[in-house]
Amino acid sequence: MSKIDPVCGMEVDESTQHKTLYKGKVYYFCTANCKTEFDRDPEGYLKSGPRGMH
Amino acid sequence: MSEKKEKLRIVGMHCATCVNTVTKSIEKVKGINGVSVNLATGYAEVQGDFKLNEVVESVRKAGYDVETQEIKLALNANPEESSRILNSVTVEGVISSHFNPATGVLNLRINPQAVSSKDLVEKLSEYGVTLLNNDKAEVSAIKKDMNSMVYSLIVASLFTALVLFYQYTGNYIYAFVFSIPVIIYSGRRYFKGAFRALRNRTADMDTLVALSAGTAWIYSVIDLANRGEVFFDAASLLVTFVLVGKTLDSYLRYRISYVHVPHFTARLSTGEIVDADQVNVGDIVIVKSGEVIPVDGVVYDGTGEVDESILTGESVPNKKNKGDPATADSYLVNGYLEIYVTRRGGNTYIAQLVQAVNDAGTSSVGLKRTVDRVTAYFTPVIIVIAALTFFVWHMTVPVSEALLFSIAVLASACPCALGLATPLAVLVQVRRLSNKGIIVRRGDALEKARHVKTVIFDKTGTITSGQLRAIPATVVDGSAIAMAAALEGLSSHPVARAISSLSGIKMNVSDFTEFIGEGVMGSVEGHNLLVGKREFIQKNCDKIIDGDIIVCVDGRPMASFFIEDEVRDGVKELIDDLKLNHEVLIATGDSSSFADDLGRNLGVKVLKGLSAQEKAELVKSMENSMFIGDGVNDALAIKQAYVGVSLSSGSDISKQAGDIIVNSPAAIKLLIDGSYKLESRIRENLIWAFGYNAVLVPIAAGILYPAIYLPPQFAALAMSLNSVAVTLWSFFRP
Repeated sequence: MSKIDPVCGMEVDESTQHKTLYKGKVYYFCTANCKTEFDRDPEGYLKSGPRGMH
Repeated sequence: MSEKKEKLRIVGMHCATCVNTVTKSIEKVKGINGVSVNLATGYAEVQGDFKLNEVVESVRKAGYDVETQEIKLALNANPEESSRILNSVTVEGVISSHFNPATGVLNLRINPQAVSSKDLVEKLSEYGVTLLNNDKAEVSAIKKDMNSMVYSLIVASLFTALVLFYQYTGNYIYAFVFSIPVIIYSGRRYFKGAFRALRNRTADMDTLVALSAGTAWIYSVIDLANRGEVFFDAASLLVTFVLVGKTLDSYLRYRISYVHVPHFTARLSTGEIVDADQVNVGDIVIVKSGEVIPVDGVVYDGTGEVDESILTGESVPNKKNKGDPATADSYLVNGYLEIYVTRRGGNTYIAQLVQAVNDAGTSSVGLKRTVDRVTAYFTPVIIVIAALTFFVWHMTVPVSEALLFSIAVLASACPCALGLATPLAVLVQVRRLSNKGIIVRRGDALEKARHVKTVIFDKTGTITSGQLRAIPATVVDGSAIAMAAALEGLSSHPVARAISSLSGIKMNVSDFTEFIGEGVMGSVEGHNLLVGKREFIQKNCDKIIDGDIIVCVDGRPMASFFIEDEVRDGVKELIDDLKLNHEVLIATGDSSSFADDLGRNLGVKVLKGLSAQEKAELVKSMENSMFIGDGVNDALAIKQAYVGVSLSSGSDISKQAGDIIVNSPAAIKLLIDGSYKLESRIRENLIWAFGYNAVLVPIAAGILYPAIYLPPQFAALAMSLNSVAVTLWSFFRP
C-alpha cells in the first residue's frame, strides 16, 4: 500500500525503511533526507502539509 | 581550464528532494555555473569551469553516487614522464588519474558518458599503450615490456663485443657495421622516447641517452669518413650499459614492487582437486590440517585453528566452528574444515587487498608533484652543462676529447631516480603497513595522516567490542521485560539482541514494526508495546522514566534498561598516546549514559546521540580530522574526514568507505608512525637521487681530470645503476 511522504508529498510504499512513529502514528518517507527534515519540525509539516522541494 | 559542459549519470535518486539535494551538492563545487538534474532520466548536466572529481566527491558526500568506470592502461614510459602523462589525460570525462611509474600502469576513473577507453588509448598512443582488462593482463604487459628489454640487451651485448674487438684491432669499418644493430635496434627505445619528448617540447632520460649515444655514434661515422678518431666502442657500450641498469631495474621493480594475488588449488567435496578460480559459489571445499584456505566462505562443518595473520596481522590462531567465516590465504594450523564458498578468485578478500595495495602505489602524494616540477627542469639544465663542458674543454684539448667529456655529462645524469624516489617510498610503506593488517588505499591519505589534528572515533564496534549488555534500570512491571525481550527477538539490531537475551519466555507477537535508529513497535500478548530510545519514547508515550532504552506498554513506561559495552583491548593506551599531540573525540549515535561513563573513563569528550549526517557535519567542521568508524554505517563521516579510516570487518573492501582500512583501533598508532616514516623515506630517497647526480655530473664533466676520468660508457653505467640503487635502498632498508 502506498502512503504520502509528509515532507515532499511523494507517494511512498509502506515497505520503506524510512519511517517514524510520531504521537502513535506511523509516517513514511521517500528518503532519509525527508525523514531528517520531518524530525526537525514534525508539527510544522503536519500542520502545513507537504512543502514539495525544500 | 575553460568553460565546459558535462553529463553525468546519478545513481540513487528517488524523488524531487533527491534532485534538490544533488543539485545543491553540485552547485557547492567551485566553478559551477549551471546544473540541471533530471529525475526521470537520472542524468545531471553540469556547466562551468570545474574539476570533475570535486563534482563526483560532492555528489557522493550527499549520499548519492555517480556512475563511473575504471580503466587500466599499461604504458611504456619513463618514471619522470609521470606528470606529462597525467597532464595529457586531464581531459573532459576523466575523474581521476594515477600513474605508477614503478609498474608503468595508469589507473583512470572516467565518466563513461563523456569519454571512452578507446579515446584515451588513442590519446596516449605514443606511449605504446595497452588496455588492461584484468590483473593477469597487467602482469603480462609488464612482463612483455621486460622481455623486450632483455632481447635488446642480448643483442646489444653480442654486437658490442664484436664492436670492441674490431675497434681495438683497428678495423673501424667492421666496428661501424656491428655498432648499427646496437644503436638502431637495442637503442631504439631511447631514440623513440627522445623523439616523443621532443614532440611534447620537453626532455627526459631518453633525451639524454639518445643525445649522448647519438652524438658519439654520428661523430664517429663522420670521422670514419674523414679518417679521424672514432668512438663506436663508447657509443655501443653506452647503450649496452644503460640497458644493463634499466633491465635490472625493471626486473627488480617487477619482482618486488608488484604484489601478486596468490594462486590456490581447492579440494572439492568429491575429492577432486581443481584451480581455486574454477570453484563455484555454493560449492563445499575441504581443507585439511596444514593447508591454506583457498576461498572465502563460511565453515559448513568441522573445527580447526586458523592462522589469520593475513587478515588481522595477528599470528595467534583463531578457533573456527560451524558458521564462522573463513578467509582465503589464511592457514589451517590444525583440524579439518568443510567450507561453503561465498567468494572466489578475484572477489576474495585477499585478492581485493592485493589490488588495493597495488593501486595505492599509483596515487600521487604532494611531494611527488613538487619533484615532478623540479624534474621538468633537470634535463634541460644537464644539456646546458654538457654544452658548457664541451666549450670549456675545447679551449684546451682536441674536439674529440672535449666531446667525450660532454657526452659523459649527458650519460651520467639520471632524472629517473628522481621520478622513482617518491612512488617507491609510498609503495614500500603501503606494503609494510599491509603486512600489519593496515590497508592503505590511497597513498596521499597515508601522507596526510601525520598532519591530523583531531582524531574522532565512532563508539560502538570501534572503541567498544559491540557486544552489548542490557541492564534493567527501572522496573515498574516485571512482565514488561519479558514482553520487550519477545518483541526485540524479531530485530537483529545489537541493542535488540541484548534485550532479547534477558528472557526466553515464548509470547505471541504480532504487527512488528522497526523504526531504524529509533526503536520497535508491536503487539505482544494483546498489549501495544514500544521499545526504543528516550527521544523515540518521548514522542509517543505519556511519561518518561530514567534509562537508555524504555519499554512503553499501552502508552505507559513500564521498564527501562541501561546499555553497556566492553572497551576493546589497547584503546585506553592508544587514546592516552594520541592525546599527547591530538584532540581526541568520540562521536556516537548512542545517547545512553554508558557513553558518558566511557568518555569519563577514557578522559575524552563524548558527543552523543548524533545521526550519521550530524557525525559527518562534525567531522567536516574540524580542521584536519581523522574519523575512525565502521566502513558501512559511518561511510558519510569517513568520506568527509581529512583522513577517513574504516575498521575492517573482513567483508568486501570495495564496499567499505575509507582511504585506509585498519583491523583494530590500536593500529591507528602504527598508521600515524607509518605516515612520519613515509615522509622521511621520501626525503632520503630524494637526497640520494639528487646527491648521486650532484657527485656524478661534475666528475663526468672532468672536474677531477686527470686524477679521475669517467668515460661516457661508465658514466652511463653509473647513471643506470642509480635507479637500481634507489629501488634496492627503498625495499631493503630496515
